Parts: sequence; C-alpha cells; structure tokens
Amino acid sequence: MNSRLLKANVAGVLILALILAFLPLVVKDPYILHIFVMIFFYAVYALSWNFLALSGQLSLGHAAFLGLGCYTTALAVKMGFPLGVAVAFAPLIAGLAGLFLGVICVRLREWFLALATLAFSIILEPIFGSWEFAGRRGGIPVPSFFGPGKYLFIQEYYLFFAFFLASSIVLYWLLKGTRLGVAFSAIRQNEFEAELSGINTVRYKLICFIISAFFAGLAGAFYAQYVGRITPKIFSLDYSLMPALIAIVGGCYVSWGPIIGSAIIMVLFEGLKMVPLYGMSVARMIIIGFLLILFVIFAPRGLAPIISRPRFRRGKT
Amino acid sequence: MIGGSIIIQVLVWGIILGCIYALAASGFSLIFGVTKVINLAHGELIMIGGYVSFWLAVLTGLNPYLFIPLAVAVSSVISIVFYSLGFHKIMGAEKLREAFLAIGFTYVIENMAVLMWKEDTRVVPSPYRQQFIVVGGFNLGVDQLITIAGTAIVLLAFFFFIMKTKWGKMARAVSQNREAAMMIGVNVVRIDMLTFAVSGAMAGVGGALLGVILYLNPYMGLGLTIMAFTIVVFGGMGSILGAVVGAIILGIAQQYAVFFLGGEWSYAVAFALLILILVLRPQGLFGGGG
Repeated sequence: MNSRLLKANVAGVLILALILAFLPLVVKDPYILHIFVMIFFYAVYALSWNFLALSGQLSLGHAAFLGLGCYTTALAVKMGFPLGVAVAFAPLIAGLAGLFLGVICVRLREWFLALATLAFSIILEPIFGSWEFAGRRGGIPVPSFFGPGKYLFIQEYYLFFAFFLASSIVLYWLLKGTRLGVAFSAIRQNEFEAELSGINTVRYKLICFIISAFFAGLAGAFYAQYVGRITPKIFSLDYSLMPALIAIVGGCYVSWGPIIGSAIIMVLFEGLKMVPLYGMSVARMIIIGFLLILFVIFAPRGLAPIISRPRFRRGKT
Repeated sequence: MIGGSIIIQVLVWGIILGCIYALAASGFSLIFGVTKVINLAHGELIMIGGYVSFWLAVLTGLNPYLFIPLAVAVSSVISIVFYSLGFHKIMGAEKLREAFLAIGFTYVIENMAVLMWKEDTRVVPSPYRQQFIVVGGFNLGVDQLITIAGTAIVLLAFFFFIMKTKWGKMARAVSQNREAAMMIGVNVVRIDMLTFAVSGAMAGVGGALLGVILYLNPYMGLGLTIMAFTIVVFGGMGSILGAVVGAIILGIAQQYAVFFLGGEWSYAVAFALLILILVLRPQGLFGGGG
C-alpha cells in the first residue's frame, strides 16, 4: 500500500470513527444500536477470517474458534478464575486450537482445507452438547464483567465493540505491512514460488492460522459477554458461513471488505424482517438466496473494490 | 449386553444409508471430476426427488416406486438449471464464489420446498411397509431390499455409461484434459450439461428411495451435500469406486454412532473419520497420487 493510499484510508477511518463515536448521542433506539453492535462484532469476526484468507487458506469452520472463545470464558469463570483471566484464556485456547487444526491441515488446500475446518467445528457441537459441566444442550450462562447483575447499557456495548473493531483494523493493517503480511500474500499468490524464494510456507501458514484463531477467540469472548448465554449452536454451520458470506459480499483481502460486508448483510437481514411477507422467514431466505446468486455472478470481487475504485485511479497504484 | 441380532440390524441400516450416500456421492464426484465444480447444492436435488415421489404418491395413491422416473426427470432438469444459469457463468472463478452460488441455490430451493410442502417431516407411503423377508434368521424389509437392488442397478448403469458409451468416453476425456478435449472437437459445454443431468438423475433416484426408507425434510439437503463431499474426499477425489466404498463405510459408522452414542453424534463420527483419513492418507482411500 503506498503512502497516499494509506493516508486516504486513515483519513476515511478517522472520519467514519468520529461519526460512529457520536452516533449514540443522536440515536437512542436500543434496537438500532443493537444492529450496530452486531455489525461491529461480525466485522471483527470476518476480519479474523479474512486474515486467514490472506495466506490463501479457506476456512468454513471458523465457528470452532469463535465458539471455543465463548465457551472458554464461560467455563473459566465457572471454574473460579477471575474475569480478566477468563477473557485472556479465550484467545489463547482458540489460538491453540488453531495451531492444532493448522498442523493437521497444513498439507491440505482449497476445498480439502475448507472441509476439514468444517468437520472440526461440527465435531465440537456434540462434544459441548453432551458435556455436563458446560450445561449440555442448554448451554452455559456467561457472567457479567462487572460483577453479578451489573450489565452494561447498550450504548456502552456500542462504544466497546466500536473500539474493538477499530483496534482490530489497525492491528490488521500493521500485521499486513510486516514481513508476515508480505509472506502471506506471496503464499496466497503462488505457494510453490513462495517456497522457492525462501519462505518457510509451512511455518507461515501455521502462524497465520494461530493469529486468525486468536482473534476469532477474542471476538468470541466479547460476544459471549454481550449475548449472556452460550449454547452448542455456536458451532453450527450458520456461524461458520457468516464470515465467508461477509467476505464475499464485502470483498476479500481488503480491510474494508469485512466492514462493508458486515454492514450490508446485517442491514439486509434485519431490513427484510420488516417486510411483511407471507411465510416471513421462508420468503426472506428465498430473496437472500436470489440476491446471493445474482451477487456472485455479477459482482465477482465484492463491493469494497467497486466502492473504492475512484480512489485507486487517482492514486496511481 | 446388547444382542448380536441388533448389532446386525444396525449394520443393515448402515448399508441402506450407505446406498443413498453412494448415489449422492457418485453424482457429486462425477461433477467434480468432469467440471471441477464442487456443487454444494447437490443435496437439494435429492430432497426434491424425494418430495416429487412423495407428492405424486400421496396425490394419486399409487405405488411410489412408479414415480421414480418423474423424480429423476425433475431432479435432472433442476440440475441442468443449476449449471446453465449458475456454474456455467462463473467457470474457473474463485472456489469461494462457487460455494456461495451453490448456497444461494440451496436457500432458494430449500425455502421453496418449505412453501410447497411445509416444514414437517414426511415419509413416502409404501405398500410394502410391513412386509419382511427372512434371510438367514433376520428380517429384511422389502423396501430395504428394493433400495439395495435399486442402488446396485443404478450404479451398474452408471459404470456402463461412463466406461462403455460414447458420451461417457467424452466425459472422461473432458475430465482428463479440458483444453485437449475441446481441441479434438468435444462440445465441452454440452458434456458439462450432460454431467449435471446424469448426476441430478442419480440424486433423484436417491431421493425417491430415501423418502421411503427414511424420511424427508426440506432442510435435509445441505447435510446430504456435506456427507457426499465428505465421502468423496474420504474415498479419494475422482474415484467412483472410492465414493461407493466410502459411502458404505461412513453410512455404517454413522448408524452405529447413532445407536451407541445418540443422534447428535452421527455427523461428528463421520467427520472424525474424515480428519483421520486426511491425516493418514490425504489422497483418500482409493485416490491415486498426492
């Protein structure tokens, strides 16, 4: 990324951040703020997915890391650890799971990798669903950060998740600019040539897996805090497909992609809930299905490149 | 202590499930082999095939096995639509786009099925429901025997088609080298379409049989697709024999898992076997090369 483009990006983020930071002063409706919280959360989650995609690795089982993050916090608290420690555990356990899965999958590519990750997340569902200590299928309640019975206001959650998203994006940029990021995109573009030019592809792919899982786990810890109860459904296919869906709508490999994608998907899902249709959710899913088909055929690279195209022209990249 | 006869009964159920899986997986494998598309909407064709025979059998009150040809026709037409309106337009694109195109199709078909037939679980009424044949001391349902025989016939016809006919030869040529096949005058697009039609037809048979011996549900498609995919990777990408053997193995494993551990473990066990095979033998049971 050249310096001019970077400046444009930073300026864009700052302006957006300012607008979003003052939004709760204007918008008081908790439902709308809830949608924003979900947009922020899914953007972070999709960003962690995107990070793995940077090194050309396709995951359809990211819910495994998200869910492990959620469950780790809840279980650690139940075992008597203080909350700060419990939250810190979440990304560590998720990162370890990432290392484990990465070692298993290191020789797998494309579809094989996607299927193996999917398999991993689906195996976790009955394991947690039949674990007595984790509350079986009913799930486990997640106690509040601030002592029993003290919950944050939706405005505070809003600011918290906004801050979480902003710092994740900054971190994403920083990591992308380092040797790591360069190595990842080299591996993505041509793994064989990357190996030839002296990149230890196995090691870098593992690192990428660990970092991605780490962030998904952290997002899970905060998500658990927000929803208050975790059930084994967190490992289901819906949660795994979401970040990939967001990436394909928003655009892969660009930091803007997950944010734009997440905003569009959430607004679309919530907006269609308000349309009075026969058979409500059924009709909604048919519309979403058709939109997805059209989208895949006519907007192959997602919306982020389309939206930011004029800037690319001026910026002589 | 669990009696030996129950163990064998579960084994038979596993083989039956394996038959349905074999029909699903060999069609899935054929599409992958020829067009390199991973058709994640493949399971929807099975679901639709099952509902077509259910619908007609209930409406007319006739024997549901009479409607298998119609189920085949509907499933293969929908499969051709998948290809010509969808996959054909994004051939050779990123794999992720293919996946989401198929998921778009899945949402549309699945929810249209809910609109037409409601969310309830249905069973196709069969006139042979209570009839059994005693084989070596065990009761085998007539429907189960029909499923096994029907699967065997369809798979043999499929082998014959791929190995002996001119169209099968062309399909194999395309699967080996697309450009070269094009150069010697094979109409690749027509072969692709044929491939989708054949695999849709097999899915239709699978669905019609599945509806009689198990049950139908509008949301069953994606699970079947994932199982077909798992089986194809398990048995070895591109190997039809691997798909059939893998289907039987995973079908049996799943039924035992359901019997001993409970229903929620059925997918987990299949996937545990998949991960095991990916670690020990990444090319799959019958896959050649690396």
